[in-house]
Amino acid sequence: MIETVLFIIFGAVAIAAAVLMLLSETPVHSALFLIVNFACVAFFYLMLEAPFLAMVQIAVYAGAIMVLFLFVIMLLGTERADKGPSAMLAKPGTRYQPVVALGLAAILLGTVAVAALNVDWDNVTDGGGQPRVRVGMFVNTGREVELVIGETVLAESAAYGSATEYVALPAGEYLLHGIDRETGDHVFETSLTLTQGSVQTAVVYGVGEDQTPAFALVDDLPGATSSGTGRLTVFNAYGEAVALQDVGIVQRDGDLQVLIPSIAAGAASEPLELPAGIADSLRLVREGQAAVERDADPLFNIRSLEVSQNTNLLAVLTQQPGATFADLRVVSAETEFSFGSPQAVGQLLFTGYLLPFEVVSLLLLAALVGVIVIAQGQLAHVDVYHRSAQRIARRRVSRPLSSVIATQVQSDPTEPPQLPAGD
Amino acid sequence: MVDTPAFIVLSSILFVLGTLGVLLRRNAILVFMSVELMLNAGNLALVAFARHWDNLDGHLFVFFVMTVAAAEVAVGLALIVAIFRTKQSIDIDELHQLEG
Repeated sequence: MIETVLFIIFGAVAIAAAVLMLLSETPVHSALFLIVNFACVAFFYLMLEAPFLAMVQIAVYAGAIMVLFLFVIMLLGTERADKGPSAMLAKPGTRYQPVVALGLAAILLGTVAVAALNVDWDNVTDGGGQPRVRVGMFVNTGREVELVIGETVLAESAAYGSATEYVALPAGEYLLHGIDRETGDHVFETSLTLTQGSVQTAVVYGVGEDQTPAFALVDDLPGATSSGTGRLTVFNAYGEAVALQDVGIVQRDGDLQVLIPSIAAGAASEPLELPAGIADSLRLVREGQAAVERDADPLFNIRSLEVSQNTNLLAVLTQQPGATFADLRVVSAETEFSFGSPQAVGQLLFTGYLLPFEVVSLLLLAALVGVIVIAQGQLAHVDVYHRSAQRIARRRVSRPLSSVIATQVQSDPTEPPQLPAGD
Repeated sequence: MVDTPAFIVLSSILFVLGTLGVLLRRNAILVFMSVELMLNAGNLALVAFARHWDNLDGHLFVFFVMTVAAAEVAVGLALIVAIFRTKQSIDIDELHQLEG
């Protein structure tokens, strides 16, 4: 609601600024109205989830380009040279122009409006990141299971301890099926609600001795991790609350460092940022198991877990039927940068758009050279510039660089440079 | 959330206003500003479609358009200054040496 109100206000300001730009008598006022319009467009970029472009819009358009415009207007001193829109009607033979132009504008606007309003916008996906979901298979059924979400086949045969690739689906409610590939039986079935913009893993795990399938949705945090760290989320499918400890770090009072004090059964921990590298001193214990008991029997010792930057690790602690030990399976996924962020744009710019980027860089370089050539040409041809250039050149000859340096050096020969006095 | 068509209509209004500026104004600097307005309207439509299709390519196009617009303004304004030095006017009606 508030977004709609803001859109209407800023849209009206943008259009008013554009109209005033066209109608103002002095070019300086036009330039200032255009800056207002650019600021409104930058605000629309923010509404459209493009923060990076909003920033570039302000810096490049409102900053660099408009300053260039204002500079040239001031330089030429044409603030009042042009009589504005009223002058154009006074000229003979241009009376029909506004009529033709307005007619053409009406046709153009009508065409776009008809085109935009006739599209069935509801039928195409709208906006802001479809939910993405993957399924992690952590139940040992002993059968080949095909995973189907809605109509989409996620995996032909999901192995125990693996996760499928992410799929993007429109937000809504879906049925997740596990189908036995040989018999066609439904091994499990559950409904999932996917919300806009979420990135989730649907964890399928077994409960109890007969490994009844149970389900949980775990959020995978999007966005980059802090520099030099990776994320670890522990999902507890063990049946009783567990804790995550770091055996490698012994605190001052002799206790082990407890990274996550308690993870309830059937729940996921908060994401933990671990330093990138090989983690091999982590262990999972029963909740409340005394931290000092270094030799206490842990549920699982994590050995050589590879943690790397911008990677989400999901570790699922499972209980095997008929076995006393727990099993830990880890699936990883690279994090995606959030839509429209500088990182996401930069990543695309330096991968898929590297060649266009270089071509545009060359174009900018050519424009720079072109501007210098045009300016040089002016200097050579306009008389007053030519003479002043000669004068400057003569002055330079009369005072060579060496003499300048000499005067600079001799300016203060008595006082040697001194360091500031210490305490 | 504001729907995509609203942004498309707004961007087409701004584009048409820019076109009117190019067609009607006689001051070369004003014509240039109107071209900038048209480029901005196009950019706005690109960003709106980028969000609609959840595809970042539109943002990259906008980025390139901005870069090219910056180059174009630098060269164009240098040309305007050069023309003003020789003709003492930037009224585009008076610039007709290239007429056949």
